[in-house]
Amino acid sequence: MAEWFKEHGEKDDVVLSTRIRLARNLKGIPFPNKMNADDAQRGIDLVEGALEEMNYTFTKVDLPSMSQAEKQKLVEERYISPNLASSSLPCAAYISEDQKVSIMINEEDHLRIQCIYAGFEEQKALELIGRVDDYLSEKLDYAMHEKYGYLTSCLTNVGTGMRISYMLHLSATVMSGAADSVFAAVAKLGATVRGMYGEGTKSAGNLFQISNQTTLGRSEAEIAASLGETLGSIISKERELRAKLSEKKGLILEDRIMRSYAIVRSARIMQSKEMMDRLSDVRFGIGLGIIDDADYTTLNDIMICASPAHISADFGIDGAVERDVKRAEMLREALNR
Amino acid sequence: MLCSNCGVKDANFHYKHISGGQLTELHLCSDCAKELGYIKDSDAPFGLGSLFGDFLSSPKAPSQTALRCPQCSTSFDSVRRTGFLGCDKCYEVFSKPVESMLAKIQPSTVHKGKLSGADGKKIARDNTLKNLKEELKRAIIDEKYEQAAVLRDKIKELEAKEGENNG
Repeated sequence: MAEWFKEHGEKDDVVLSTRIRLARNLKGIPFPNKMNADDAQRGIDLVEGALEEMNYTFTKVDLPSMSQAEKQKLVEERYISPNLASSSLPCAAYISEDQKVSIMINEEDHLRIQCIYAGFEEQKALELIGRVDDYLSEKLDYAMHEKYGYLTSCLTNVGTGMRISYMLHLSATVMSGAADSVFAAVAKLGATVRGMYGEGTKSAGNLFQISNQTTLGRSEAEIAASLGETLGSIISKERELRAKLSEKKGLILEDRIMRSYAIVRSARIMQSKEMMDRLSDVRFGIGLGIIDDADYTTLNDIMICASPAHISADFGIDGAVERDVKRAEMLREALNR
Repeated sequence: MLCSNCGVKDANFHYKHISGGQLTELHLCSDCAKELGYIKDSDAPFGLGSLFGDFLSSPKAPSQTALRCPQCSTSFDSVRRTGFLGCDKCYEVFSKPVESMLAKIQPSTVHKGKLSGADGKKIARDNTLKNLKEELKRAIIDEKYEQAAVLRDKIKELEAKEGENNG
Protein backbone atom coordinates (compact mmCIF):
# COMPACT_ATOMS: atom_id res chain seq x y z
CA MET A 1 0.00 0.00 0.00
CA ALA A 2 1.14 3.51 -0.80
CA GLU A 3 1.52 6.39 1.60
CA TRP A 4 -1.60 8.55 2.00
CA PHE A 5 -0.17 11.38 -0.11
CA LYS A 6 0.13 9.15 -3.16
CA GLU A 7 -3.64 8.57 -3.25
CA HIS A 8 -6.71 10.44 -4.48
CA GLY A 9 -9.41 11.77 -2.17
CA GLU A 10 -12.73 13.57 -2.25
CA LYS A 11 -12.92 17.36 -2.68
CA ASP A 12 -9.19 17.46 -3.34
CA ASP A 13 -9.41 20.76 -5.20
CA VAL A 14 -9.39 22.30 -1.68
CA VAL A 15 -8.86 19.52 0.87
CA LEU A 16 -5.41 17.90 0.82
CA SER A 17 -5.89 15.61 3.76
CA THR A 18 -8.18 14.49 6.56
CA ARG A 19 -6.44 13.62 9.79
CA ILE A 20 -8.02 12.47 13.04
CA ARG A 21 -6.12 11.88 16.24
CA LEU A 22 -7.20 10.46 19.55
CA ALA A 23 -5.32 11.20 22.78
CA ARG A 24 -5.33 8.27 25.21
CA ASN A 25 -3.48 7.58 28.45
CA LEU A 26 -2.79 4.57 30.61
CA LYS A 27 -4.14 4.26 34.11
CA GLY A 28 -1.66 4.65 36.97
CA ILE A 29 1.35 5.79 34.90
CA PRO A 30 2.40 9.47 35.07
CA PHE A 31 1.69 11.40 31.86
CA PRO A 32 4.72 12.05 29.60
CA ASN A 33 5.31 15.54 31.09
CA LYS A 34 5.89 13.84 34.47
CA MET A 35 7.20 10.42 33.60
CA ASN A 36 10.70 9.04 34.00
CA ALA A 37 12.48 6.75 31.53
CA ASP A 38 11.23 3.59 33.29
CA ASP A 39 7.61 4.73 33.15
CA ALA A 40 8.09 5.63 29.50
CA GLN A 41 9.48 2.20 28.67
CA ARG A 42 6.62 0.52 30.57
CA GLY A 43 4.12 2.43 28.42
CA ILE A 44 5.90 1.36 25.21
CA ASP A 45 5.97 -2.30 26.33
CA LEU A 46 2.27 -2.30 27.18
CA VAL A 47 1.19 -0.82 23.84
CA GLU A 48 3.58 -3.01 21.88
CA GLY A 49 2.19 -6.11 23.60
CA ALA A 50 -1.34 -5.06 22.69
CA LEU A 51 -0.44 -4.34 19.05
CA GLU A 52 1.29 -7.68 18.57
CA GLU A 53 -2.01 -9.53 19.00
CA MET A 54 -3.91 -7.30 16.61
CA ASN A 55 -4.95 -8.56 13.19
CA TYR A 56 -4.10 -5.21 11.62
CA THR A 57 -0.35 -5.15 11.27
CA PHE A 58 1.73 -2.30 12.62
CA THR A 59 5.43 -1.81 12.02
CA LYS A 60 7.51 -0.23 14.74
CA VAL A 61 9.54 2.79 13.76
CA ASP A 62 12.74 2.60 15.73
CA LEU A 63 13.09 6.27 16.61
CA PRO A 64 16.18 6.08 18.87
CA SER A 65 18.26 4.50 16.08
CA MET A 66 17.16 7.03 13.46
CA SER A 67 18.98 10.15 12.33
CA GLN A 68 17.29 13.52 12.82
CA ALA A 69 16.68 13.74 9.06
CA GLU A 70 14.95 10.36 9.02
CA LYS A 71 12.72 11.39 11.91
CA GLN A 72 12.00 14.72 10.26
CA LYS A 73 11.01 12.80 7.14
CA LEU A 74 8.22 11.17 9.14
CA VAL A 75 7.18 14.63 10.36
CA GLU A 76 7.00 15.84 6.74
CA GLU A 77 4.82 12.84 5.90
CA ARG A 78 2.75 13.63 9.02
CA TYR A 79 3.10 10.20 10.57
CA ILE A 80 4.72 11.71 13.68
CA SER A 81 4.71 15.16 15.28
CA PRO A 82 7.68 17.54 15.60
CA ASN A 83 7.41 17.04 19.39
CA LEU A 84 7.93 13.31 19.15
CA ALA A 85 10.87 13.71 16.76
CA SER A 86 12.70 15.83 19.33
CA SER A 87 11.57 14.04 22.51
CA SER A 88 14.24 13.06 25.02
CA LEU A 89 12.04 10.37 26.64
CA PRO A 90 12.00 6.78 25.44
CA CYS A 91 9.27 6.97 22.80
CA ALA A 92 8.07 4.98 19.83
CA ALA A 93 5.89 5.14 16.76
CA TYR A 94 3.99 2.42 14.92
CA ILE A 95 2.66 2.69 11.39
CA SER A 96 -0.03 0.39 10.00
CA GLU A 97 0.69 -1.73 6.94
CA ASP A 98 -1.75 0.29 4.81
CA GLN A 99 0.01 3.47 6.05
CA LYS A 100 -3.28 5.02 7.17
CA VAL A 101 -2.82 4.79 10.94
CA SER A 102 0.11 5.76 13.10
CA ILE A 103 0.41 5.49 16.86
CA MET A 104 2.82 7.70 18.77
CA ILE A 105 3.85 6.60 22.25
CA ASN A 106 4.90 9.16 24.88
CA GLU A 107 4.20 12.28 22.89
CA GLU A 108 2.13 14.73 24.98
CA ASP A 109 -0.05 11.76 25.98
CA HIS A 110 0.84 8.09 26.35
CA LEU A 111 -0.91 7.29 23.07
CA ARG A 112 -1.67 9.51 20.16
CA ILE A 113 -3.57 7.39 17.66
CA GLN A 114 -3.79 9.06 14.29
CA CYS A 115 -5.45 8.28 11.01
CA ILE A 116 -4.77 10.11 7.75
CA TYR A 117 -6.37 10.06 4.29
CA ALA A 118 -5.85 12.15 1.17
CA GLY A 119 -8.74 14.55 0.47
CA PHE A 120 -11.96 14.77 2.47
CA GLU A 121 -12.61 11.36 4.04
CA GLU A 122 -14.24 12.10 7.39
CA GLN A 123 -16.34 8.92 7.56
CA LYS A 124 -13.58 6.52 6.52
CA ALA A 125 -11.17 8.10 8.99
CA LEU A 126 -13.66 8.06 11.88
CA GLU A 127 -14.51 4.46 11.20
CA LEU A 128 -10.92 3.23 10.96
CA ILE A 129 -9.59 5.11 13.97
CA GLY A 130 -12.64 3.99 15.97
CA ARG A 131 -11.82 0.36 15.20
CA VAL A 132 -8.18 0.70 16.26
CA ASP A 133 -9.19 2.53 19.44
CA ASP A 134 -11.89 -0.02 20.33
CA TYR A 135 -9.38 -2.82 19.96
CA LEU A 136 -6.73 -1.09 22.09
CA SER A 137 -9.26 -0.17 24.77
CA GLU A 138 -9.97 -3.89 25.29
CA LYS A 139 -6.28 -4.65 25.69
CA LEU A 140 -5.08 -1.61 27.63
CA ASP A 141 -6.31 0.07 30.80
CA TYR A 142 -7.14 3.56 29.55
CA ALA A 143 -7.28 6.39 32.11
CA MET A 144 -10.97 7.30 32.24
CA HIS A 145 -13.20 9.46 34.38
CA GLU A 146 -16.90 8.95 35.02
CA LYS A 147 -17.68 12.57 34.17
CA TYR A 148 -14.84 13.70 31.89
CA GLY A 149 -14.36 10.58 29.73
CA TYR A 150 -10.81 10.07 28.41
CA LEU A 151 -8.22 11.81 30.57
CA THR A 152 -5.37 13.66 28.89
CA SER A 153 -2.34 15.54 30.12
CA CYS A 154 -3.66 18.88 28.83
CA LEU A 155 -7.17 20.00 29.74
CA THR A 156 -7.75 21.14 26.15
CA ASN A 157 -7.96 17.49 25.02
CA VAL A 158 -10.08 15.93 27.78
CA GLY A 159 -13.31 14.11 26.92
CA THR A 160 -13.19 12.58 23.47
CA GLY A 161 -9.46 13.29 23.15
CA MET A 162 -10.29 13.81 19.49
CA ARG A 163 -8.92 16.39 17.10
CA ILE A 164 -9.99 16.35 13.45
CA SER A 165 -7.74 18.38 11.14
CA TYR A 166 -8.23 19.19 7.51
CA MET A 167 -5.32 20.46 5.45
CA LEU A 168 -6.67 23.03 3.03
CA HIS A 169 -5.37 24.87 0.00
CA LEU A 170 -6.90 28.34 0.17
CA SER A 171 -5.14 30.23 -2.62
CA ALA A 172 -8.11 32.37 -3.73
CA THR A 173 -9.07 33.16 -0.12
CA VAL A 174 -5.53 34.46 0.48
CA MET A 175 -5.17 36.20 -2.90
CA SER A 176 -8.48 38.03 -2.50
CA GLY A 177 -7.41 39.30 0.93
CA ALA A 178 -10.28 37.43 2.58
CA ALA A 179 -8.15 35.15 4.78
CA ASP A 180 -8.40 37.23 7.97
CA SER A 181 -12.16 37.56 7.81
CA VAL A 182 -12.66 33.90 6.91
CA PHE A 183 -10.41 32.75 9.75
CA ALA A 184 -12.15 35.06 12.22
CA ALA A 185 -15.49 33.54 11.21
CA VAL A 186 -14.01 30.06 11.55
CA ALA A 187 -12.84 30.87 15.09
CA LYS A 188 -16.35 32.02 16.01
CA LEU A 189 -17.68 28.66 14.86
CA GLY A 190 -15.38 26.90 17.34
CA ALA A 191 -12.64 25.82 14.96
CA THR A 192 -8.94 26.66 14.96
CA VAL A 193 -6.74 27.57 11.99
CA ARG A 194 -3.06 26.62 12.11
CA GLY A 195 0.00 26.32 9.90
CA MET A 196 0.99 23.25 7.98
CA TYR A 197 2.54 21.05 10.62
CA GLY A 198 0.24 21.92 13.51
CA GLU A 199 0.45 24.15 16.51
CA GLY A 200 2.86 27.07 16.30
CA THR A 201 3.92 26.39 12.72
CA LYS A 202 3.66 28.80 9.82
CA SER A 203 1.63 28.45 6.72
CA ALA A 204 3.39 27.79 3.44
CA GLY A 205 2.00 27.73 -0.08
CA ASN A 206 -1.44 28.89 1.09
CA LEU A 207 -1.89 25.66 3.06
CA PHE A 208 -3.77 25.77 6.35
CA GLN A 209 -5.08 23.29 8.86
CA ILE A 210 -8.47 23.73 10.43
CA SER A 211 -9.49 21.66 13.42
CA ASN A 212 -12.03 21.47 16.22
CA GLN A 213 -11.09 23.55 19.22
CA THR A 214 -12.93 21.75 22.01
CA THR A 215 -13.10 18.08 22.90
CA LEU A 216 -15.47 17.77 25.87
CA GLY A 217 -19.27 17.97 26.06
CA ARG A 218 -20.01 16.89 22.50
CA SER A 219 -19.90 13.40 21.01
CA GLU A 220 -17.39 12.46 18.32
CA ALA A 221 -20.15 12.58 15.70
CA GLU A 222 -21.32 16.02 16.85
CA ILE A 223 -17.77 17.39 16.77
CA ALA A 224 -17.25 15.94 13.27
CA ALA A 225 -20.58 17.31 12.01
CA SER A 226 -19.96 20.79 13.34
CA LEU A 227 -16.43 20.96 11.94
CA GLY A 228 -17.74 19.48 8.69
CA GLU A 229 -20.21 22.31 8.42
CA THR A 230 -17.49 24.91 8.98
CA LEU A 231 -15.31 23.14 6.44
CA GLY A 232 -18.18 23.19 3.96
CA SER A 233 -18.48 26.96 4.19
CA ILE A 234 -14.71 27.44 3.81
CA ILE A 235 -14.72 25.24 0.71
CA SER A 236 -17.69 27.08 -0.85
CA LYS A 237 -16.09 30.44 -0.13
CA GLU A 238 -12.78 29.35 -1.65
CA ARG A 239 -14.50 27.96 -4.76
CA GLU A 240 -16.61 31.09 -5.11
CA LEU A 241 -13.52 33.33 -4.81
CA ARG A 242 -11.64 31.18 -7.34
CA ALA A 243 -14.45 31.68 -9.84
CA LYS A 244 -14.57 35.42 -9.15
CA LEU A 245 -10.79 35.86 -9.50
CA SER A 246 -10.79 33.88 -12.71
CA GLU A 247 -13.62 36.01 -14.09
CA LYS A 248 -12.15 39.36 -13.03
CA LYS A 249 -8.45 38.79 -13.61
CA GLY A 250 -8.58 36.01 -16.17
CA LEU A 251 -5.47 36.76 -18.19
CA ILE A 252 -3.37 38.12 -15.33
CA LEU A 253 -4.19 35.09 -13.22
CA GLU A 254 -3.54 32.69 -16.08
CA ASP A 255 -0.20 34.38 -16.72
CA ARG A 256 0.82 34.02 -13.09
CA ILE A 257 -0.20 30.35 -13.01
CA MET A 258 1.56 29.47 -16.27
CA ARG A 259 4.73 31.32 -15.22
CA SER A 260 4.85 29.32 -12.02
CA TYR A 261 4.22 26.11 -13.95
CA ALA A 262 7.03 26.94 -16.35
CA ILE A 263 9.40 27.71 -13.50
CA VAL A 264 8.81 24.47 -11.57
CA ARG A 265 9.31 22.56 -14.84
CA SER A 266 12.54 24.35 -15.80
CA ALA A 267 14.33 25.80 -12.79
CA ARG A 268 17.80 24.55 -11.84
CA ILE A 269 17.78 25.79 -8.24
CA MET A 270 14.63 25.76 -6.13
CA GLN A 271 14.25 26.70 -2.49
CA SER A 272 11.62 25.00 -0.39
CA LYS A 273 9.51 28.12 0.14
CA GLU A 274 9.52 28.99 -3.54
CA MET A 275 8.46 25.44 -4.38
CA MET A 276 5.48 25.74 -2.02
CA ASP A 277 4.42 29.07 -3.52
CA ARG A 278 4.83 27.92 -7.13
CA LEU A 279 3.04 24.65 -6.50
CA SER A 280 0.21 26.62 -4.92
CA ASP A 281 -0.22 28.46 -8.25
CA VAL A 282 -0.04 25.20 -10.19
CA ARG A 283 -2.64 23.66 -7.90
CA PHE A 284 -4.87 26.66 -8.50
CA GLY A 285 -4.29 26.22 -12.25
CA ILE A 286 -5.42 22.59 -12.11
CA GLY A 287 -8.54 23.67 -10.22
CA LEU A 288 -9.39 26.27 -12.85
CA GLY A 289 -8.76 23.81 -15.67
CA ILE A 290 -5.92 25.94 -17.04
CA ILE A 291 -3.44 23.13 -16.42
CA ASP A 292 -4.62 19.73 -17.56
CA ASP A 293 -1.42 17.68 -17.75
CA ALA A 294 -0.72 17.56 -14.00
CA ASP A 295 -2.86 16.31 -11.13
CA TYR A 296 -3.28 16.97 -7.40
CA THR A 297 -1.73 13.66 -6.37
CA THR A 298 1.48 14.40 -8.27
CA LEU A 299 1.68 17.77 -6.50
CA ASN A 300 1.06 16.27 -3.04
CA ASP A 301 3.68 13.64 -3.68
CA ILE A 302 6.41 15.97 -4.96
CA MET A 303 5.67 18.56 -2.28
CA ILE A 304 6.45 15.99 0.42
CA CYS A 305 9.22 14.06 -1.36
CA ALA A 306 11.11 17.28 -2.15
CA SER A 307 10.87 18.60 1.43
CA PRO A 308 14.23 19.29 3.06
CA ALA A 309 14.46 16.20 5.29
CA HIS A 310 13.34 13.90 2.48
CA ILE A 311 16.14 15.12 0.23
CA SER A 312 18.68 14.91 3.07
CA ALA A 313 17.65 11.41 4.12
CA ASP A 314 16.95 9.92 0.68
CA PHE A 315 19.97 11.30 -1.16
CA GLY A 316 22.41 11.95 1.68
CA ILE A 317 22.56 15.62 0.76
CA ASP A 318 23.22 17.97 3.67
CA GLY A 319 24.14 21.32 2.08
CA ALA A 320 21.26 23.75 1.50
CA VAL A 321 22.34 24.72 -2.03
CA GLU A 322 22.87 21.11 -3.13
CA ARG A 323 19.43 20.36 -1.74
CA ASP A 324 17.90 23.18 -3.78
CA VAL A 325 19.57 21.82 -6.92
CA LYS A 326 18.23 18.34 -6.20
CA ARG A 327 14.75 19.76 -5.51
CA ALA A 328 14.71 21.53 -8.88
CA GLU A 329 15.75 18.29 -10.58
CA MET A 330 12.99 16.34 -8.81
CA LEU A 331 10.37 18.91 -9.80
CA ARG A 332 11.45 18.80 -13.46
CA GLU A 333 11.24 15.04 -13.43
CA ALA A 334 7.83 14.89 -11.73
CA LEU A 335 6.18 17.62 -13.81
CA ASN A 336 7.59 17.03 -17.29
CA ARG A 337 6.07 13.60 -17.83
CA MET B 1 -6.45 38.00 42.99
CA LEU B 2 -8.42 34.79 42.49
CA CYS B 3 -8.07 31.75 44.72
CA SER B 4 -5.41 29.43 43.30
CA ASN B 5 -7.40 26.37 44.32
CA CYS B 6 -10.90 26.97 42.98
CA GLY B 7 -10.01 29.83 40.65
CA VAL B 8 -13.46 31.28 41.27
CA LYS B 9 -13.52 33.31 44.48
CA ASP B 10 -11.21 36.11 45.60
CA ALA B 11 -8.19 35.01 47.59
CA ASN B 12 -8.14 36.50 51.06
CA PHE B 13 -5.78 34.04 52.69
CA HIS B 14 -2.11 34.18 51.75
CA TYR B 15 0.20 31.44 52.87
CA LYS B 16 3.98 31.11 52.50
CA HIS B 17 5.54 27.77 52.96
CA ILE B 18 9.26 26.98 52.96
CA SER B 19 10.27 23.40 52.47
CA GLY B 20 13.68 22.13 51.36
CA GLY B 21 14.76 25.71 50.63
CA GLN B 22 11.83 26.14 48.20
CA LEU B 23 9.37 28.93 48.86
CA THR B 24 5.80 28.15 47.87
CA GLU B 25 3.15 30.86 47.94
CA LEU B 26 -0.53 30.07 48.14
CA HIS B 27 -3.43 32.43 47.68
CA LEU B 28 -6.72 30.92 48.79
CA CYS B 29 -10.30 31.97 49.41
CA SER B 30 -11.55 31.25 52.89
CA ASP B 31 -13.58 28.23 51.80
CA CYS B 32 -10.63 26.53 50.14
CA ALA B 33 -8.30 27.51 52.98
CA LYS B 34 -10.71 25.79 55.35
CA GLU B 35 -11.10 22.77 53.14
CA LEU B 36 -7.37 22.33 52.70
CA GLY B 37 -6.80 22.54 56.44
CA TYR B 38 -5.04 25.91 56.63
CA ILE B 39 -7.63 27.46 58.92
CA LYS B 40 -10.15 26.15 61.37
CA ASP B 41 -13.85 26.89 61.07
CA SER B 42 -13.69 29.29 64.00
CA ASP B 43 -10.93 31.28 62.27
CA ALA B 44 -12.92 32.08 59.19
CA PRO B 45 -13.50 34.37 57.54
CA PHE B 46 -11.66 37.43 58.80
CA GLY B 47 -10.93 36.77 62.45
CA LEU B 48 -7.60 37.60 63.97
CA GLY B 49 -6.90 33.91 63.89
CA SER B 50 -6.87 33.79 60.12
CA LEU B 51 -4.45 36.68 59.83
CA PHE B 52 -2.07 35.35 62.41
CA GLY B 53 -3.09 31.76 62.21
CA ASP B 54 0.38 30.61 61.35
CA PHE B 55 1.95 32.29 64.30
CA LEU B 56 -0.65 32.25 67.04
CA SER B 57 -1.72 28.68 66.77
CA SER B 58 -0.33 25.64 65.11
CA PRO B 59 -2.87 24.83 62.45
CA LYS B 60 -2.95 21.23 61.39
CA ALA B 61 -0.45 20.49 58.66
CA PRO B 62 -1.91 21.17 55.21
CA SER B 63 -2.95 17.92 53.65
CA GLN B 64 -0.29 16.80 51.19
CA THR B 65 -2.87 15.30 48.84
CA ALA B 66 -4.40 18.69 48.27
CA LEU B 67 -1.10 20.44 47.57
CA ARG B 68 0.60 17.81 45.51
CA CYS B 69 -0.67 14.75 43.72
CA PRO B 70 0.49 11.69 45.71
CA GLN B 71 0.95 9.66 42.52
CA CYS B 72 3.06 12.06 40.41
CA SER B 73 3.82 14.96 42.81
CA THR B 74 2.39 17.61 40.46
CA SER B 75 1.52 20.75 42.44
CA PHE B 76 -1.81 22.45 41.99
CA ASP B 77 -0.02 25.70 41.36
CA SER B 78 1.54 24.17 38.26
CA VAL B 79 -1.85 22.78 37.15
CA ARG B 80 -3.36 26.23 37.49
CA ARG B 81 -0.51 27.91 35.65
CA THR B 82 -0.11 25.46 32.78
CA GLY B 83 -3.39 23.58 32.34
CA PHE B 84 -1.33 20.38 32.33
CA LEU B 85 -1.90 17.53 34.75
CA GLY B 86 0.70 14.95 35.68
CA CYS B 87 -1.37 11.75 35.79
CA ASP B 88 -4.92 10.35 36.00
CA LYS B 89 -4.92 10.74 39.80
CA CYS B 90 -4.43 14.52 39.47
CA TYR B 91 -8.01 14.74 38.19
CA GLU B 92 -9.25 13.54 41.61
CA VAL B 93 -6.74 15.45 43.70
CA PHE B 94 -7.31 18.78 41.93
CA SER B 95 -10.96 18.17 41.15
CA LYS B 96 -12.10 21.70 41.99
CA PRO B 97 -9.63 23.73 39.90
CA VAL B 98 -9.93 21.16 37.11
CA GLU B 99 -13.70 21.56 37.02
CA SER B 100 -13.53 25.36 36.95
CA MET B 101 -10.77 25.40 34.32
CA LEU B 102 -12.68 22.96 32.12
CA ALA B 103 -15.81 25.08 32.45
CA LYS B 104 -13.84 27.99 30.98
CA ILE B 105 -12.30 26.21 28.00
CA GLN B 106 -14.82 23.51 27.04
CA PRO B 107 -18.48 23.89 26.02
CA SER B 108 -19.58 21.57 28.86
CA THR B 109 -17.83 19.57 31.57
CA VAL B 110 -19.72 16.35 30.92
CA HIS B 111 -18.34 13.83 28.42
CA LYS B 112 -20.89 12.86 25.78
CA GLY B 113 -18.72 10.78 23.48
CA LYS B 114 -17.86 7.13 23.32
CA LEU B 115 -16.82 5.05 26.31
CA SER B 116 -14.74 2.02 25.41
CA GLY B 117 -12.99 -0.75 27.31
CA ALA B 118 -14.09 -2.37 30.58
CA ASP B 119 -14.01 0.89 32.57
CA GLY B 120 -15.76 2.81 29.83
CA LYS B 121 -18.56 0.27 29.58
CA LYS B 122 -19.02 0.32 33.36
CA ILE B 123 -19.22 4.13 33.33
CA ALA B 124 -21.78 3.97 30.52
CA ARG B 125 -23.90 1.42 32.47
CA ASP B 126 -23.70 3.48 35.67
CA ASN B 127 -24.78 6.60 33.81
CA THR B 128 -27.73 4.81 32.21
CA LEU B 129 -28.81 3.48 35.61
CA LYS B 130 -28.52 6.90 37.19
CA ASN B 131 -30.64 8.46 34.43
CA LEU B 132 -33.27 5.72 34.66
CA LYS B 133 -33.52 6.17 38.43
CA GLU B 134 -34.03 9.89 38.00
CA GLU B 135 -36.72 9.24 35.41
CA LEU B 136 -38.38 6.79 37.80
CA LYS B 137 -38.43 9.40 40.58
CA ARG B 138 -40.02 11.91 38.25
CA ALA B 139 -42.57 9.40 37.01
CA ILE B 140 -43.62 8.63 40.61
CA ILE B 141 -43.90 12.33 41.48
CA ASP B 142 -46.02 12.88 38.35
CA GLU B 143 -48.11 9.82 39.30
CA LYS B 144 -47.32 8.11 36.00
CA TYR B 145 -47.37 4.67 37.53
CA GLU B 146 -47.46 2.61 34.34
CA GLN B 147 -44.33 4.35 33.09
CA ALA B 148 -42.77 3.93 36.52
CA ALA B 149 -43.35 0.17 36.41
CA VAL B 150 -41.63 -0.08 33.02
CA LEU B 151 -38.70 1.96 34.31
CA ARG B 152 -38.46 -0.12 37.48
CA ASP B 153 -38.25 -3.33 35.40
CA LYS B 154 -35.57 -1.83 33.21
CA ILE B 155 -33.53 -0.84 36.27
CA LYS B 156 -33.92 -4.31 37.78
CA GLU B 157 -32.79 -5.91 34.54
CA LEU B 158 -29.71 -3.67 34.29
CA GLU B 159 -28.80 -4.25 37.93
CA ALA B 160 -29.11 -8.01 37.47
CA LYS B 161 -26.75 -7.80 34.47
CA GLU B 162 -24.34 -5.73 36.51
CA GLY B 163 -24.41 -8.40 39.22
CA GLU B 164 -23.59 -11.08 36.63
CA ASN B 165 -20.70 -9.03 35.26
CA ASN B 166 -19.26 -8.47 38.70
CA GLY B 167 -19.75 -12.09 39.72
